[in-house]
Amino acid sequence: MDLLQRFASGEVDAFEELFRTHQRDVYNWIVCLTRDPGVAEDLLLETFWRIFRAHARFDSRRSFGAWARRIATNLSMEHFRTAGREVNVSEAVLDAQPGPLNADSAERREARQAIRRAFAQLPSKLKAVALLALIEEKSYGDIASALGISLSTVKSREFRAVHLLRSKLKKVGIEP
Amino acid sequence: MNEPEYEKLRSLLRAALPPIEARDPRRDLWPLMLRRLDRRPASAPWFDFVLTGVAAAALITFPRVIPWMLLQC
Repeated sequence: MDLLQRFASGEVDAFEELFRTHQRDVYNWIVCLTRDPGVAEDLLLETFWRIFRAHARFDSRRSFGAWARRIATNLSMEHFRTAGREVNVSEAVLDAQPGPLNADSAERREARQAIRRAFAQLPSKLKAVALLALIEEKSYGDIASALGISLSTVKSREFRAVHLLRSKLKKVGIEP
Repeated sequence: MNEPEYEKLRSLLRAALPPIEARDPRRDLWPLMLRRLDRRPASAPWFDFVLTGVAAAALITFPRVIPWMLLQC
């Protein structure tokens, strides 16, 4: 019996192996969406908890990683709806970025905050696609698979997100 | 929106919300996962059900105790 079949039959050892193999990928996917390592850890645990509870329904011919990403994406989108209006950029994330962020002018920082606020106001479906496609440069195929939508829907959501953002930014005096 | 405008918007976004570099979780999360798996669902409060049933049966069998019980309240 292979690993996925052993997992589907409820073996905890098989689940541990899958957890250890896929946790980095799923964790990074969630961080891309939530932009908060602390939240990502909680959502990662919730994702794998849901995966384990659903082990009997898992079809071992399908991709475990894609399934895990899909559950993680749904949880991250639930998090968008319950979190505040600001897109969170935690200190831990900023610390890991190259470049002297503190050297920015006050005007630049304000512009960035305005952009984050505008971004946070996007509907969660558009926000997820915009984060993954525009910022993280994930492939349309990966995004479609994680959201459970077609490639054309990904492109249309990206298009709508861009137009909505552009009009929101114009209102606050930022001309992209 | 033409391509240069699209790219400008994208670079503005990436400046405000920097892309995130791939990394490992800050700690080993398997022990926490294992703790969740070990957590048994709360058992059904059978004792409470039995006690409620006995009390209901007693009140049906001896209805005259109801006014006495109400006086005690």
